[in-house]
Amino acid sequence: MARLRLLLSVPDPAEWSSVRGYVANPEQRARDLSEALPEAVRLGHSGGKLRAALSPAIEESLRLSVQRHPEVITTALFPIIGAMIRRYIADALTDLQDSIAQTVESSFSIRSLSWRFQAWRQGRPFAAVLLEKSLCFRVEQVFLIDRRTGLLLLHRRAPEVDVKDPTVISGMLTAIQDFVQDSFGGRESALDAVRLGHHTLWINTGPKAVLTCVILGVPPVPLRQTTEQTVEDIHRDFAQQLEEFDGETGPFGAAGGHLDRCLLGGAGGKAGRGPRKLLAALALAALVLAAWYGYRTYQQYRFDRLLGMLRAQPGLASISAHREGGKWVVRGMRDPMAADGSALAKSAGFDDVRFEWQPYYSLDTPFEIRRAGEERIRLIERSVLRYDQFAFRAPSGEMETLAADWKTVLAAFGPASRLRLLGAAAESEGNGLDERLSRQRVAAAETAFREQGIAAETLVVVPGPLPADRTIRFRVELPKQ
Amino acid sequence: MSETRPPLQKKICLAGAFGAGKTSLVRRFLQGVFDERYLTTVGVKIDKYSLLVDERQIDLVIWDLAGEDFLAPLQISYLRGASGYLLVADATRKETLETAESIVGRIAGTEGALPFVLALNKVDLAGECEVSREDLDRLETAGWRILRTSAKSGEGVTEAFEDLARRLL
Ligand SMILES: Nc1nc2c(ncn2[C@@H]2O[C@H](COP(=O)(O)OP(=O)(O)OP(=O)(O)O)[C@@H](O)[C@H]2O)c(=O)[nH]1
Ligand SMILES: [Mg+2]
Repeated sequence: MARLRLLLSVPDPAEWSSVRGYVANPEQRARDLSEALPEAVRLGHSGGKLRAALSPAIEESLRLSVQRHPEVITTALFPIIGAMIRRYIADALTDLQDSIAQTVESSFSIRSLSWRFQAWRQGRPFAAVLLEKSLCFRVEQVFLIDRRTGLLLLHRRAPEVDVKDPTVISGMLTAIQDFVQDSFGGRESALDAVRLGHHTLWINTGPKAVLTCVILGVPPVPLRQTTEQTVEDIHRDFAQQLEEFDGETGPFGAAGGHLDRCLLGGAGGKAGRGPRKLLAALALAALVLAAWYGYRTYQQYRFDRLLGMLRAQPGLASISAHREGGKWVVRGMRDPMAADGSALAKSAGFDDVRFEWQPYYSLDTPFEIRRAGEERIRLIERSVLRYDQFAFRAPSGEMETLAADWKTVLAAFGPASRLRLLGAAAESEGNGLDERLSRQRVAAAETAFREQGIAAETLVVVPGPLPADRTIRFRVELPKQ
Repeated sequence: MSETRPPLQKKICLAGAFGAGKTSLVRRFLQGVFDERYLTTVGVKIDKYSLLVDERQIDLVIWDLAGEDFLAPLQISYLRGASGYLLVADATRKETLETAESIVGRIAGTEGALPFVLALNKVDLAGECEVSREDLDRLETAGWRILRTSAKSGEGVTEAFEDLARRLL
């Protein structure tokens, strides 16, 4: 209640009218806005609210643009999507060929029949089971990467593994890691394994350095202990070098022995899968992340759109939203006369949005409410409360009607509207009594209004001797338009 | 002895507004080619360039970052550990210079004062130049190193990268 009072409280009249004047001048507003907008856009980067507010408009214009000139957008997007898809498919095909070759080789053995059954029972691709059973694993490459810069400190590979540019791969791994951490937030969210096709990347993140193993096949769990131990050893043996690293990789040559310890496996492993595979795997990882991110962004877009629609509703204000236990919660203020938003949410496809509204009186009420308000003002201003000699109690039936009328006016024109209670006494009531009676009458009328639930701030009492006819009349003052 | 020393590695980034020509500058610098088509960078693209300075091989690991637009701000975290950066603005779009200024501020806020060089790109489109002499003078007075470049004609491209490389050492 105290908060509601605060919301309804009167600003200084001079200040109020200058604000009103400003609001009424669209040119001035536009000019100021055009100055503030670039800055707002810049600031908006950190907050994200602006992004949320802009996205419905952008989405809409994108939609229109796609409708009118589809070729422009398709041309712009094709090279990226096309290239990614081609790469992805080419790669999937290679894998497919490999697994077909494998399958043919083993498809006549009894063992393979039992694996087939196992794959079917576990709902996994046959190739995956095959790999696990027949190929084991092989650590093909080991990267030691400076965590901060993403620069490659040392790289080792198994014999016959053809490697093109570990420096670039090291950078890509770091960039993907950065991306994941930015998206999920926090250091704990660091990726520790990426599994793609037949390759697994195992990433062991230490405080200063990251050890990444490129493994063909399915690595056994104990291998993890080896790689973790290696990261720890490197941090111990090269603590100072890591601390001081500034692009000089020479000192890390001595860590070769540590890295070689990780080049394990190889029983039946396929050699010769070079960096092309790894690059493709990384590209795929990036694609998967991008798709996930895109989906999340899309959901966010849809919800932001709903918020945009809610914000455009008259009588709803200061709307914000957050997630609570997987559900959206929308908070804000709602004029008692406005719709509560749940129908809108349903029609936008969000069924379980929870709304938490605080009541307030809206300034942007639709016209019919205004018209009703104007009508009531006329009635109020024509009303006259007449008093018997020396009487001051307000006639309760009339007070009730007046209070209801005044509520309608407040709803239409906002809490800054004022009802002036003009009291008058009669000359005949004699010396000094006039003023007092007049004051008691308006005070009683004011109390009666308050008992009808009207905020005291909206009432102004004006006792006085004139026009000396033992009445109270009413004048309404609206906030300046 | 010096032959067996592994190369010195340095990470540098390209940052700036979207479509300013970051990717085109890298392509011109590394491959000597230019393409009119605009393929926006998603996330980051990484390349390597090796050069010899005083008989020492330096490997520049170049992070070409996605340009900033008002839906996607520059991911400052990609600059972590960079030794310097090439800031790119589009001479035909005045607002890209403002973006560049804002980026410098944000990088200084998280990474400290990294060396950088501003490439004022697309100077081949002289007729459409929008960036004013006064703005450039003001930035130069503030200590900015500004080079006029064109990924299309090749003007100033090598100079910009080499100028930056010198500042890293
Ligand atoms: N005329 C001219 N066009 C250029 C120049 N540099 C780039 N362009 C064109 O500008 C467009 C954008 O170039 P990009 O190199 O993709 O720009 P970018 O900064 O990498 O863009 P994002 O990756 O989206 O941030 C392309 O159409 C290029 O052909 C230049 O020096 N002169
Ligand atoms: Mg680019």
